[in-house]
Amino acid sequence: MTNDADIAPDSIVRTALRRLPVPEHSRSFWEELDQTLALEPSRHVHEPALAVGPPLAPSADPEAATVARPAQAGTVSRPPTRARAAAAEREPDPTSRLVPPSLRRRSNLLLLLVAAAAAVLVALSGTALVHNRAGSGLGTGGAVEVPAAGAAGAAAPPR
Amino acid sequence: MVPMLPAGADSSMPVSTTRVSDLELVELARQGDRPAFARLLRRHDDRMRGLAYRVLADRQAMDDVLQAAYLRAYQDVERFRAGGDFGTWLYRITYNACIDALGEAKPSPTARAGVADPTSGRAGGEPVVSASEVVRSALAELSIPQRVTVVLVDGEGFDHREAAEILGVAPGAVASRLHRARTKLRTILGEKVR
Repeated sequence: MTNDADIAPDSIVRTALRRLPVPEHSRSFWEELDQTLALEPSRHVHEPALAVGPPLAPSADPEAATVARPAQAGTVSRPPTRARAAAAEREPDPTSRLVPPSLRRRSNLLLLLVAAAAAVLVALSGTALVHNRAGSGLGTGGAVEVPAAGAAGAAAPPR
Repeated sequence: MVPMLPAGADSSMPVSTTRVSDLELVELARQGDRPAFARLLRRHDDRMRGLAYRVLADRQAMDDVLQAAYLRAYQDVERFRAGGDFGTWLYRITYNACIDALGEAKPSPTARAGVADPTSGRAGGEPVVSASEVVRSALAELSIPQRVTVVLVDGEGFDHREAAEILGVAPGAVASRLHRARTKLRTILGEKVR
């Protein structure tokens, strides 16, 4: 099905693909992206050096332009993208900082409660078992008290 | 980690004048440095646009997909392996975002053929426009896996191993898809040019 010719680039197809020019982004693309990324929870360890200082001046290096440019007058703003809406939904609730991360999901809390209840039950059962064994003499080295013969006879039902 | 400035450089100078490696920018992005991450994205944006536009054939869809892909990359940048290639990693995220978009919207590239062709309106550009239309509609007739594979290998210049890594398939599957895609493309292009 495949041979060595498939490994080499196909010049005809490559030329054809180059006939399909790739457009630039819309003018507001980088501004929107910056706004979206700004909604993400910060993970700063320390203030990075690249983030301080004045905004970068336009330069010949296209990659050096930041996405943090202020919105230009007359820029048409598009409705929020799905990505941005999803990011907004993920904005952390400040009240949740009081709750440990492992307990922020309701199902985790429920599991914790069930586990605690099970632990209490086990502890109670264990205590009751120990008491029973102590009361019946099982707790004194395994010796079983055998009732006296007379006592056994007295306890026997009348014929 | 802060990139080192060249000796004698004024620390108040814009950092844009220094050449920082991808890995250094990734490290800065991991610490929450958005401008550093933006630099990283701009460094690879041309190729991501090439993939997204050739697969989706729509400028608006390309922008939406790349917004989602770049956001995902920012969220997952801590998972990026230090020894890996950031471009390949970003390609994979972009590819997955394209697949998601195609699965949700089922766009019809041929129906949108007139939208946002960057060559339209160019003086004397008529033959180029028609050639791009031919290629666009020919690509639209390929299946999505075939289209992505041919764009990666013949459009973006990846070898089979790299394309397989991006697509998450075996290199043999890439060769197989490529064979079918090229055969079909040659046939379609031959018919359309005739």
